[in-house]
Amino acid sequence: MVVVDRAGLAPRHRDFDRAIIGDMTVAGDRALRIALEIEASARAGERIGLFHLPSPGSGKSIAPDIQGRVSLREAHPVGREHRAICGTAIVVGPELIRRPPALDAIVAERAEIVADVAIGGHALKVDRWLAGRYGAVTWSPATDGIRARLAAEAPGIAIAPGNRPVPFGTRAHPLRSGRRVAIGAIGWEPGDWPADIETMTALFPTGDDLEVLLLGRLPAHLRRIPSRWGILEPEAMALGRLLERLDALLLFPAGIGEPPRVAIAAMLAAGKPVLIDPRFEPLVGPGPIYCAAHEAASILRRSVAEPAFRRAPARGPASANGSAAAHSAAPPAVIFVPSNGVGLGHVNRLLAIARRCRSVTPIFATQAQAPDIIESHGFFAHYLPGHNYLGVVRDDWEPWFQAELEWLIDAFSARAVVYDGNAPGPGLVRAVGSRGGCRLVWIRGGMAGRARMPYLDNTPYCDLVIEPGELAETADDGVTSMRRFEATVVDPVLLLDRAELLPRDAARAELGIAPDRTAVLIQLGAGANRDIIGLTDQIIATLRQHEGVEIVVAEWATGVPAPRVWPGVRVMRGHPFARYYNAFDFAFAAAGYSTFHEGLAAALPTIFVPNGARSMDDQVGRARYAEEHDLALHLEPAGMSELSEMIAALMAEPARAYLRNASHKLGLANGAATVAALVEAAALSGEAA
Amino acid sequence: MTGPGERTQRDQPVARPPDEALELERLRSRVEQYAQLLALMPETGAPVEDALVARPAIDPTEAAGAIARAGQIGMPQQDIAGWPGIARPHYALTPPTGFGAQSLGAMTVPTLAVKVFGLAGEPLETVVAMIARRQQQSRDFRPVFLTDSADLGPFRRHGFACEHFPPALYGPADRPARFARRARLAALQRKWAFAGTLDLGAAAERPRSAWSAAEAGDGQPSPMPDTASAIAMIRESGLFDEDWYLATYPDAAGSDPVRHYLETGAARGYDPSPLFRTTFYVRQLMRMGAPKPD
Repeated sequence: MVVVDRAGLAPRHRDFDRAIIGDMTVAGDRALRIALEIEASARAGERIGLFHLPSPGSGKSIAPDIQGRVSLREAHPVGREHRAICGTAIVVGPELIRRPPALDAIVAERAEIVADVAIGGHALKVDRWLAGRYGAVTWSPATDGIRARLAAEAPGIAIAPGNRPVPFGTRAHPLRSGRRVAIGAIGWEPGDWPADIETMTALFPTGDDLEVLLLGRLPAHLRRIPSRWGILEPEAMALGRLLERLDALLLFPAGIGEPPRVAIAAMLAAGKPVLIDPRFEPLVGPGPIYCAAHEAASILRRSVAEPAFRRAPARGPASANGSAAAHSAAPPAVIFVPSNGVGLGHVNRLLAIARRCRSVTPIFATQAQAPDIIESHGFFAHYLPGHNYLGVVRDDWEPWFQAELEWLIDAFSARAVVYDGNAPGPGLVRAVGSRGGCRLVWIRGGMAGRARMPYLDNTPYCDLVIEPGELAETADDGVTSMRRFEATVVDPVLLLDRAELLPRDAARAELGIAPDRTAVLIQLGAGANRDIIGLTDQIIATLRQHEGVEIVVAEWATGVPAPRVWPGVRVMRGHPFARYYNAFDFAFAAAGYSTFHEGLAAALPTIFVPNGARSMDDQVGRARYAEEHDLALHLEPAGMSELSEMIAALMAEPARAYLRNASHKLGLANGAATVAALVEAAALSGEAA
Repeated sequence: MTGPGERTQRDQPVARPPDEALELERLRSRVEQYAQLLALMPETGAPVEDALVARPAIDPTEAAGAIARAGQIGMPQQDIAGWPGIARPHYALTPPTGFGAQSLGAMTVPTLAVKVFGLAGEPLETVVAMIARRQQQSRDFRPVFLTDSADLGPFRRHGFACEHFPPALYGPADRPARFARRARLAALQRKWAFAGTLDLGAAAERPRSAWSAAEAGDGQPSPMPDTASAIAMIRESGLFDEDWYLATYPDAAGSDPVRHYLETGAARGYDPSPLFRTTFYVRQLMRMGAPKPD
């Protein structure tokens, strides 16, 4: 038994100003309230401790809204085996305390009990248990109704004069590109949802300009919701984060339980409509739109048509990232996650963005096996192996990836995760969604070709979708080409600006290439999906028919090693090859995103030999486009008979000059700085004004 | 249907589209073929020219400083008792066999953690090749390498799984980094269900013997703990499943399961959890020349 010196605790001896005690795994309205209280206290410069008091219905993990604040270090968990001294112990959810609580870890001068539901005579027991430990106990009811019941059912307890407010801060609404109107519903218990599937589907208006996002656990009879609706379980996304994304919230439960008052208040404070069953009017009061379930869709449809509906509100719930407590001298961290592609395209693009970020610290959690390359550019890199390399089924791997990414987000208090890849799977979405203060940015490549993008429907869970521009955009008939409205499209993202490329003489000197020789670079990719050794061999053999040609074969850092079996041919490894492009007179290259755009931006005359594998982006489309627009030549693997002719053509300077001029005229701009600015804005969107 | 080379750890297998599985398989065999080619090359007498190395414009010293500063932002913590901040899955993954032992296929063999901290370049290549040879001979384990090297080429060339411990976050020696390393090791123990750990790291990184329990997290030499300390250490590690132990070994009923394991269970070959096989650990220890433990 801990003996508490209630009177003698001077503030300087406190570990925390406040300690919040409750079942921290219970997601939903209560977790949102706790998160908002943490954020408000942290903004006021208070130190907050959190003590998880498990209850019979405890979940497996801390509620996302709360863990999000912990991740930002606005609040600090107190372990069972520790002891923390604090000013005020705030107990949330007293109805869950069924026996004298084990609170040895928390020593406090006083206690407040937040009563957001009526708990009847049980309040007397809880009051007695807590008074025995903390002395002064004050009840803080959330509403007048709960206040009245407390007074009637637990006479003698001390009740605070005012109802407990829901703290909101002010901040800018987070960025979102090409957004559709998002309408949502939430529910943690079966009774929180409509009574049948017909009522449920009729609630939401239909149309391509709308998306439906649900958070909670759907009862069995509602599982047949339309496939285009998004649903995440409570552990996968913070309620505050969902509310930020929503433009309207619908609440038409079959039951008559406690309405989610904090969520409703947050939406209303943000100037966003809440449509709710009239039965709840006595409990909720003015503010929401009370209507019958069958009227909701038409009311929303009319509202959506009003221009004001789409205007970003000036005030929002304070559930974003940012507080005085979380600020530190170092710029906030942003985690860049390049997926494990065949080549280095995803790594290249994210490096291009990261090196142009000025107000955040880029951290790489790479699925590509390229931490050495990333480090060579001066960035911290942590390799997290992908499912395809491990050879395990994706569904088995996703939860592990989620746990590892969550750990990194927490370790670095990351404000955003920037993913570059084709598959923003559930692990990624849940890891970021469960950290309410962290944004998710998806760098989505175009020219998907016939490649599958199995998680395209996770787009609504991204705060920002950015498509790096494609020169061959008009040839894009991939799966994302019809969904460009979701994305912010920028100029092609290039690792290096033209001015960063070494001049011809310097590049040749560094590579040891004689100034007067014709130098040819062969970079056919990482070697997956096709026989690049055979292709390279054919090209080398044909090049050797010409005198004085210096041949350099590029060895992909994450691909198969280039064999040293061609006498006189040199191998170039390392990164980035583009920095040396000016050393070469012409090149053979695959038409992956980076090689294609970097080559044309550098005006390097090129014979593209695209990789046409189904799982790749549409390299053939890019190569065809380049040839049709006189920017490069296109050698189809089936048309190797043209190889000699093409080489002969490019051995002549006039032909090379023609291609160079065409590329120069193109004036390919670099969109990397634009993306960096968007990423920084997303990461800092929750900073206190 | 599950694609070739894939293993499903849970009840509901998820099919990989045939074309994707086929491509994965092709990729594997091609990488293996080229890796073998590379290994043969010194004997072919083919002229080998020094490779040209492309480099970014940034000065390496400046890059290293930036990495260290970024790593210092990270403050990983050990799991806090009673605070389930991260819900890790309750099943372990099975690592790839490596290219040299693909005939193992889906065979169930123990997973071995191989610590190679402090190794890079040729020494790392040598150690990985040694493990590959050992695995081809014994065909009784799948390795997962634990490395602080940013060059993952040696593992990639053999088709082995590796887990990365970037020094800027996990080391080398200061206390927070040691906690971070220990926490990550505990998480990886759960992810891969290591049956044992083989420590082949550089001397400065290696504890007193090559073989160490998976929970000997920081790689620093330490004296043998007394029983009370050992019990506390095991309990804190979170790797001892007390309920499972009591349910599995009836003779432990009524005793402290951790103490029972230390005093009698381990000697009888009892396992501390379904994720750790004591007999395998001891066998490997002895194969490496260590005396049989008490």
